[in-house]
Amino acid sequence: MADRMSGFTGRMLRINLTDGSVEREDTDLDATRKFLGGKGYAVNLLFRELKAGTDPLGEENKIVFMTGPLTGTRAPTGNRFCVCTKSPLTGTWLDAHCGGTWGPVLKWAGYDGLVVEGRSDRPRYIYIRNDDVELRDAEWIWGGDTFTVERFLKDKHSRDGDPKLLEIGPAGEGMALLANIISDVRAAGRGGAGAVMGSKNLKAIVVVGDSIRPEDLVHDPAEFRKAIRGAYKKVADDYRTSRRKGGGLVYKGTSNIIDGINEAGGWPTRNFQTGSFDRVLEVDGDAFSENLYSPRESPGTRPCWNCPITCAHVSVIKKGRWAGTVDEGPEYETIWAFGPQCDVSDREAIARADYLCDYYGLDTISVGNTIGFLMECFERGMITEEDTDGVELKFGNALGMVEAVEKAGVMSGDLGKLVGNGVQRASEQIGQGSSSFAMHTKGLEFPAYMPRAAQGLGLSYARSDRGACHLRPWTVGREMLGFDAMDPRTTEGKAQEVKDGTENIAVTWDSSGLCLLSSYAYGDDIVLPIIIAATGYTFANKDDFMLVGERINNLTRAFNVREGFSRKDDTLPDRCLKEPHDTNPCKGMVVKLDEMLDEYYALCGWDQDGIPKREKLIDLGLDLASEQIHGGAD
Amino acid sequence: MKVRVRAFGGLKKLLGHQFEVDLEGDSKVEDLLRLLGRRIDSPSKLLTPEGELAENLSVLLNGLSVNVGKKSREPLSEGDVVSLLPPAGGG
Repeated sequence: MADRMSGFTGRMLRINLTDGSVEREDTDLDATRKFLGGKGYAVNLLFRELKAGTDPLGEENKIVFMTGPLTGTRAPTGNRFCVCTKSPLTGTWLDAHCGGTWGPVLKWAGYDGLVVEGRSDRPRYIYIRNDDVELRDAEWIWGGDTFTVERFLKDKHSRDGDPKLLEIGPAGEGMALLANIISDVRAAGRGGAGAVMGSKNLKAIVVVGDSIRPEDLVHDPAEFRKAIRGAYKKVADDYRTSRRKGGGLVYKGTSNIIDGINEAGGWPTRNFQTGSFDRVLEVDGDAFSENLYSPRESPGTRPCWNCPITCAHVSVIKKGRWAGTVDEGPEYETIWAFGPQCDVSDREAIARADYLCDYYGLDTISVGNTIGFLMECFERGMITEEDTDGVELKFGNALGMVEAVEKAGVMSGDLGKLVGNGVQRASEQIGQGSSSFAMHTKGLEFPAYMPRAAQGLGLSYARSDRGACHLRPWTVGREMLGFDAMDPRTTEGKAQEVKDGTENIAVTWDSSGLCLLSSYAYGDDIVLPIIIAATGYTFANKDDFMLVGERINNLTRAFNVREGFSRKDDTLPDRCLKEPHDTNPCKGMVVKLDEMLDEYYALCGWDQDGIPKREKLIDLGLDLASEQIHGGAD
Repeated sequence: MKVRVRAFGGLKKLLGHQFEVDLEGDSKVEDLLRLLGRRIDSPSKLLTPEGELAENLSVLLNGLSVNVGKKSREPLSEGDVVSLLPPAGGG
């Protein structure tokens, strides 16, 4: 343990499932100065420990559960942890992030993170109670859904304290490539991390942590209190996050943006064929708030730990075929995935599909994207009911959509396998030119924004380290919603926007332990003093801090380059590059990707094939990456 | 000159969701907002006393934020669609 906390407890766990060993090791505090925690720390670790070509579902892959220096502190939204591994869905680097309470409790148990390696010969779960760490039998809960597993294991360990869990459902056990990891009914959702846990026969990680108080985690408590006060004030004042001002995030959750995105022609409908959903008023934030969400004050609504925004919502279906379903959500991305993407406006069907994804442990974005793709294939006659287990999978068929989710959850039948392994595999299997409208990059399904409606977003999807991701960076605020607005139709300035945004998010949010949603209220100018007070680290100025983000972005890039990824993979399907958009204000537009990539690579110090240059890597102190990509010194 | 207004969130409740407004030929977005502000008897929900967009309002003109190229100052055209939205964040 570190003599004095620095946002980090100074301790990590390393658990080998093959031989059952549990090791405690020091957190590499030199690395935390260069990479901070979370994603940054994990990529530094996994770049060193994973060999190129590692089978993501093989025994040699590793999975890192990592907190940031602000996780478990009193910083607003300091509740995030990330799950990092080599993705079985994309073959790229993967970091998937999750809120709730698990991350803080891991920290209070005395650990910054844990590295899980090997493969158990039978189902196990990891039990952590402060210094006590052991592998336990999970045969009795193997096959269980996430809700039941969470309840059973909480009951079993309730006499030890207040146990918190992350777990996989049947989808992860079946190694569905769209399987996620669930914790407090939130998800480390994207990229198939649940399948990696399943491949290791690891059902859950239970943690009871009460050996460290949040106040004890930070380096300079007085400065820290002063720094976070400003952040709380920003949250209380911003029109989006303020309870007092009726903030959209507070009262509608992320679904508050639906109308704006739809009006900007950016809400993908019928598998990204068009950018506006004609029944938007049936599924927007108001519609869910007025018809399905429980009042936000109701006891069933569980915000993440120490979150002043409290975007979480619960839907209760009270009548009809799915009566009795209690769904935590659905939020923006999920409403899109099972709404306009499948041409469905039945709110209860959307909530039911969301519930089933949580129950089985599936990524809602990827599942909805894939079902929408299959609906288009069905309508074009590329697949028939023979391929879909008899389901007439046409756009608008809400019952068929829900059935497809059920089948994917247990990888049942042809349809379950088509959906559960994602859109890239489905299009490869179907062929017939369907790859031109299989909406993914590097195998990760597009989320809920239309790239043809915002040039910067197109670049963001194409170059993201884990495949098509809307958060690296979220150009949507500037390109569609009018915050510090940028013209969505032009490529001008977009390469710089994507570079700066990616690096900022990597360090300020994804490596600190803060929730990205708090970025609506405050930015790095507020977060940096909090991190300095928590860690005691010195950053000369903002640029010095952003250098950490640049380092992380280069190392995830190097990870992918080592796996064979390059410019050829930083691309978008033909629908984005060749089919003109049909919706204002970007009617007639395609994504002008090549010109933005040229500029983006140049700004990053990468060559025109997207490979980080030797001197860039050396400048950033990434000597090992330089050596592995470029060989020894000239 | 007729323009179409589409209102969302709290403004939808005050103004109705979708309707046409008849304006003088050289009207700008700010003129429209002034007129609508009088209609709901609460001009400050749409414009500041200085004629700037209210802080808690996002306005799109034909799907494009009026903040791009200061479109709130440009004359409207027949058939334009003006969307009035609460400030939004998340995703």
